Amino acid sequence: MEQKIEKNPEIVGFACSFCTFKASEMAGSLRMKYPEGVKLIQVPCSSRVDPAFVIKAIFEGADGVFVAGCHPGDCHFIKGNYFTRRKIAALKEELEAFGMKDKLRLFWVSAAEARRFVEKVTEMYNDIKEKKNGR
Amino acid sequence: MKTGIFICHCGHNIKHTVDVAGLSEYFRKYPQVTVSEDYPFLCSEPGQNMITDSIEKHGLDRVIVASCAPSLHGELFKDLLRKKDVNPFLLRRVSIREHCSWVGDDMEENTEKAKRLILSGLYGAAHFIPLEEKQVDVNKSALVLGGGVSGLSAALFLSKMDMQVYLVEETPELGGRVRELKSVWPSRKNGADIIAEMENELKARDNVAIFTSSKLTNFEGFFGNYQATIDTPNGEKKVMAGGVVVAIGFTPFDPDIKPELGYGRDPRIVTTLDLERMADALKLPDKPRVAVLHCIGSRDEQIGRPYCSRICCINALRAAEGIKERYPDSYVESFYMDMRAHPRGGEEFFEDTQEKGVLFTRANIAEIIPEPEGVVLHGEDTLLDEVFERGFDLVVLSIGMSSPATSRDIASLLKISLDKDKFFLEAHIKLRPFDTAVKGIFIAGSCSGPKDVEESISHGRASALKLYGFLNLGYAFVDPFISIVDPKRCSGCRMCEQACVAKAIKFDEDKHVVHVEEAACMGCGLCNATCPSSAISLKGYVDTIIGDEISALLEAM
Amino acid sequence: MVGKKITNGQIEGALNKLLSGGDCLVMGFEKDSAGIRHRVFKDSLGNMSITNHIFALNGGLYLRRLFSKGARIALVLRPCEIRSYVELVKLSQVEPENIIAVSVDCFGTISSKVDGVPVDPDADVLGKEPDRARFACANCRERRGVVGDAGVRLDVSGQYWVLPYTEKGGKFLSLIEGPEEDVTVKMAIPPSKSAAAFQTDMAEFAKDFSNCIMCMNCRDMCPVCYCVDCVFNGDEYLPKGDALFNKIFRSGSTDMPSGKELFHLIRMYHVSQTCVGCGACEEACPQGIPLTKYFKGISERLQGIFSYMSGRDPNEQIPMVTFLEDELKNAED
Repeated sequence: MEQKIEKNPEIVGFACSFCTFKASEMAGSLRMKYPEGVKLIQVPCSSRVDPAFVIKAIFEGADGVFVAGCHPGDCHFIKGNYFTRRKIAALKEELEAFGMKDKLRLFWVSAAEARRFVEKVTEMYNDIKEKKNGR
Repeated sequence: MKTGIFICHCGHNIKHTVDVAGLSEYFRKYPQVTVSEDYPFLCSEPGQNMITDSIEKHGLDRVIVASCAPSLHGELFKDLLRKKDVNPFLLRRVSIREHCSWVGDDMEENTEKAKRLILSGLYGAAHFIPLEEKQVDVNKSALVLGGGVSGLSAALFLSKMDMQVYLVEETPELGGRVRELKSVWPSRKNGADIIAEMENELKARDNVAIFTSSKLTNFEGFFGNYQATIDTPNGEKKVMAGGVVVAIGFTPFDPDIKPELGYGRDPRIVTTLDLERMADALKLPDKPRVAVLHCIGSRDEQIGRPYCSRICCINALRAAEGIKERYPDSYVESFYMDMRAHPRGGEEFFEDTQEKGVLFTRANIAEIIPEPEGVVLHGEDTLLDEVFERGFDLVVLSIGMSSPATSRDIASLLKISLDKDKFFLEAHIKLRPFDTAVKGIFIAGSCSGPKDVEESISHGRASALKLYGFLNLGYAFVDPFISIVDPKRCSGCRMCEQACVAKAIKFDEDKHVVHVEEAACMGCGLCNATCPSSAISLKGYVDTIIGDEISALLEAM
Repeated sequence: MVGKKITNGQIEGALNKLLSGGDCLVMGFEKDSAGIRHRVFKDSLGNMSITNHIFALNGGLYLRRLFSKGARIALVLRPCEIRSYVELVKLSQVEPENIIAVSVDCFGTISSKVDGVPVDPDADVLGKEPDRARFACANCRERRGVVGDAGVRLDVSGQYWVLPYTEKGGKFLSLIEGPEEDVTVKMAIPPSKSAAAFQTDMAEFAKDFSNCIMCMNCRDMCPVCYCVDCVFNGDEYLPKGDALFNKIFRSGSTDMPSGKELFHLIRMYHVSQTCVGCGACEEACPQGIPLTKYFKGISERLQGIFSYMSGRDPNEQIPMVTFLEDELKNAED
């Protein structure tokens, strides 16, 4: 009898050093669990994320990419994340035009929000896993 | 390129879900990896020696340390490279603990993840170049925000260590909440006396400038060279500060948030703070019946205050004891959920209070209804599993601590973070409880979470000590992660200049290219992402590094 | 709005006045029996034509890195070319001080790759032979001469007008002989209807771009692809052997990723805010790839979310260098 092997998604996330990455550290300290397929790249500010990186990640096989930073108004570099929001909104529009809108997510996680970080990445992972396995 | 990979077991913290031996073996096959080892505790002395010996023996020019999160042991590992004359920025930390072993359970999957994270470090580090840490002068001065007991404690310490201190207090008087306390437990000293002692000592010193009825309105600069604008009754004052201690205290919980408590509707319902202020003015009938309620505004998910306020059990005991002492015939009943008399002597105080005749009932109080004959508490005794209604002549609410009213404003001005309860967030709960994420800015006292008077004073002194440690050399090193322009590739479109938040990019009309003003650059990398050709790039985070990290994470192995 | 009626020779008269000073050039089109093409006129206008119904390239391309340092130029070009000039001004790639930009109502163009198109300055491609019009022209967002410093517009009765839009335009108008009058007539070309949002998928992309040889002609001929050294010149985004295996391993797809996806999709994002939809890219493509459909389509969507239109106003900041504190709430997940 053939056993169906579940395909696990690969998610690449860009996390800003001062907020999201710190939250992910706290999640680790608190031993919160999230899927192993989620891997982070640390950037000083979410505004460092060039849409070209996201496109590259998608076309090198990432099933999903997320960009996460401080909440608007709380950016450690004061206004960086407002620019992030514009860039990623534009990139999402482009991906949507190509029918790939579910490959990119943008969310805000502050340094204290370890639980929120875990929830967001787990939700994204599960949603993409469902789609990847045709459900 | 000679890379050394050092993988830490962290005792069993990493080893228990990551096959560290297998990983160190795996990476030996890469041609650019000269040495690949794993070890129980890399941060230990023998662990450190292993790294330095390797660097020397093999002439390593890149070092990957796969261990705990990079924010820990930040300088420790960099120093190992410095010791062997290797530029410290050729070190790459990979977090396989907080970001791998501690967040996953499956050994196989975690090891795969760790493999990719380390590979990402390996590929990224290949593009690292030696960077110069710039030395800047720092001001031996400190800005202390808040003139309460923790702020005064910090200010005194800093002043005694020969730092110029600027103390900014919002209200007209120094002393904060402690000033109002008639008796500070356990010493029973008068709060105003404690404050007066500190205040007089501070005012007698010649390197302290105190600004009352003042507030911080603007804040710029970087570590060692912050420029603060203070709005004082005598006009605006601009000061240069090397660092900041934020000690703005807390806001007492406002019972209006829980209307079922009936606060404000009847003078017989008071808070412990009201009681403190009333002192001798309190008038009760003969043989008064007094209720003291614990946990008001704390441990309450419904109103968004799930935390324990730490001080209210002792406060409640003090209130109960005080009533009993003044009115020996009184009937005093304390309603609690748990007894958290945590400080030294607290448990004995609890016993004492019981011996004095105060009754303790474990109960949840649902509603407080003032009636003409008495204030009626409607509650449920959680030990006896009984609902009850009891009337009292006075109900004392032991209120908790809420975050300070200006925490959002100060967080915004200083660019520091708040936690979920809107208190200031420390850099690391165990290892760096006084630091914030911003270098040079420290937090002290109850503004970083509920603390009692003793703790606040210690906290203030500790934060001041840390700040002093940063500033006393007179100079400091600035992270070299700033942007740089390649003028040959710059088209002079000035998009980066328009976007730059720090206004650190300037245009050269003659050459028609831009350049970066290093002192002003914050190192966010927005310019790099805005430039379509990446002619301007953020050192340490250039496109090739991030691009290769992406490739490594997604490599089909 | 004031303007002047023009008949044969009047606009040329004004341009000749500019040329006579000796320090001014005119960039426009010149016609001969073989065709109509871009030309920079000095001293005299020769066989100038204010329109060109054959499209080989976008004249804005020639304006890049043009720092005149004193010399003046009058541009008499198509609206898409003037719009790309306006974008280049925002990108500091051209100094506008000494340039007068005049946009002329455009009636559509036929690709220069089509043989045997007769030279006819009064051609109305979109009106008379719409099937031969280039995709870019058939779907043009703005072919009215309403951009730049001044515009040459045709009214419904067949009368040409020159309308000034800026102070410089006003000065140009004063060089034309004849009285200024209030312009109340209706113009022949109405505002374009907005097109449906471009929608496609990777399967269609793969099919359309299957012949792409990564010659980068599209990039080289794009007037607003202004980088001195493009990121795709290096090997940062080029297909590396490993990347190829990674993709195939994971998605199990059999189409050949050859860096095409990265190049076009990233370039689409890079030019999204400045693309004017002129189709110079498609014109330059040796493989006949329908590039306009993609680049124009994507750029219109990406400009749309910021209510931005490229080339409309030199004072309108390119969306990526500014922001509003309260916007794009649904960008967040």
